[in-house]
Amino acid sequence: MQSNDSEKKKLGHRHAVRGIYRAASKEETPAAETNVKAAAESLAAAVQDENVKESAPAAEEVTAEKDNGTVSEKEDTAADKAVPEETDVRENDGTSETASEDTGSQDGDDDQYAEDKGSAGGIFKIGAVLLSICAVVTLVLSLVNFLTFDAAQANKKKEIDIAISSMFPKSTSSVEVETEYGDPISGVYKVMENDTHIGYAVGTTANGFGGKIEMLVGIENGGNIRGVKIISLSETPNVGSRVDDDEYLSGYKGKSGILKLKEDIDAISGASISSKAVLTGVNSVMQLGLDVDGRETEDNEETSEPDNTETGRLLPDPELETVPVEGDVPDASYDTYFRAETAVPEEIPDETAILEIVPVPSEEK
Amino acid sequence: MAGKKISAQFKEGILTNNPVFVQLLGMCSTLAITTTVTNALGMGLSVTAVLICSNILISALRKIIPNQIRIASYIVIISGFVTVVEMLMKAYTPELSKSLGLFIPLIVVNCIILARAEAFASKNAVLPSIIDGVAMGIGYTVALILLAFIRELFGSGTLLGYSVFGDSYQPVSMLVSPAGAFITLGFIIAAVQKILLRKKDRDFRKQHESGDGSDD
Repeated sequence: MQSNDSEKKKLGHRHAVRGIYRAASKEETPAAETNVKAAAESLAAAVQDENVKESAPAAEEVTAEKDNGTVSEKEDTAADKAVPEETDVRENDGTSETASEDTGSQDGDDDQYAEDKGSAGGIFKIGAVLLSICAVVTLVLSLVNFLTFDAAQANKKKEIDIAISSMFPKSTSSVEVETEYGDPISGVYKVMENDTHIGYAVGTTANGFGGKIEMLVGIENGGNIRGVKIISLSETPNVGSRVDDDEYLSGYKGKSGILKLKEDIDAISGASISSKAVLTGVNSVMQLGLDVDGRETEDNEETSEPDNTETGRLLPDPELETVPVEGDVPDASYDTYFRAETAVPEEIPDETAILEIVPVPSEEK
Repeated sequence: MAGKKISAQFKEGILTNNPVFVQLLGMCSTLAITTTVTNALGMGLSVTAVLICSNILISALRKIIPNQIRIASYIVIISGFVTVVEMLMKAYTPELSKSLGLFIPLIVVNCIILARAEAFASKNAVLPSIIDGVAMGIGYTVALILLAFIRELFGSGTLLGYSVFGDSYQPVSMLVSPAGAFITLGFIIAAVQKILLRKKDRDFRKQHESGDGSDD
């Protein structure tokens, strides 16, 4: 008989705690407040019971949450109210949540809200559960990444192709070439019109205000900038993102050498960091001194070694077979240094031939 | 009986407990994304997908996850699903992924998902949690589309990218800015609250007319 009563009180107390917790985490409705008061009273009564001393810290914590002044620990012999009160609390809790109580998971719910997991085994269980959740999530993510990687890369390449064809309208294909350039250069693309090499498109990144800005810089015959296209940026909308404007970026066209702010290009007012980032990115490409007709431009000797590229000049690839050519071969031809993925034309056209085939078109935008 | 409960959940998710207009959750993405209806639709569907998946998993694991780490576990699970959605979008819908941009990863901290995990999925079985996810997701999508409809139609003169009013229309471009978003949202919330109050009034009066002595 004695143990039965104390068991009932424990159960009632736990349900009351749960009721308070649930009511405290929902919006204030008149019904919820009266329930909270009733539950708090029964809780206060149950706290007097010596058998539930262990849950007292939880009770104080929970009642401290509900600081509307009506909750107070009273010397109330309302322990009998505990059991019928808890059914009241449970029924009225269904007002703002449907399908909430009929899951039969009472024991699980009690464990959720009781704070008595101080045992040593508990901490290992917690660690193990968290570790296994993280491990499973990581596995799933790597799997999905593996499955979607190729499609995502293809999309990126498509984007770059679109940017290249907007900068070089006459281009028919572009080929990525292997270089020894490291960060921030992300890739060098040889732009071809049929079999003629008409320019380079160099992908580079720079640190903007809100993250990395990825851009593509087109180099045309003569080493001048053909155009600058922003591939991705995460700048502030309408502020830093205004660097991704065709009118602003057309200010880069035709420039050569290392560019300086205010002399060669203006910054957008209010977006100086983003504008400087674009300038840094373009300069990282200009420092390579690329030129279409196979010779390095004079600027190269004057520029200082950049901090962030591994090599400032193109290095010959020792594994590369030299291309058999007929006739005069110009010195330091970039074609022998790069390993192209498509067939290299057997005749390397000389300088004048390139100039004749691809005249620099005048830009109207 | 089950059907009634399901329809009640749907009514709750879409109207009486709408996550955007009543619970006022997920405001950041709501205000930023709703410049066009296509963006709103894309965002709404992504959030719904993540909501349903995370509800299922959290509800299935609700008895295993100890109380002390439940928020941490929820966040790991939610961000896992969001990352999966992001990877799938980058691979198969690149244009939508570009226009939604930063806000896809921000779904992780969209309060709707964490709130439903905490308030519902962690306390109910898997099937009701799925229904809840669908209902709240639909409510969120409907709210977004309504807001985007107004903002795009009057703010840019287009709908789904197609010009509606023609070239002579001078768009109210303030509507496309964040200020316009706040103002439009405020008006919509006021209208929704008015509707809900009228409903409550009617239900209250109905109860009294039928001679029911019990209040509330």
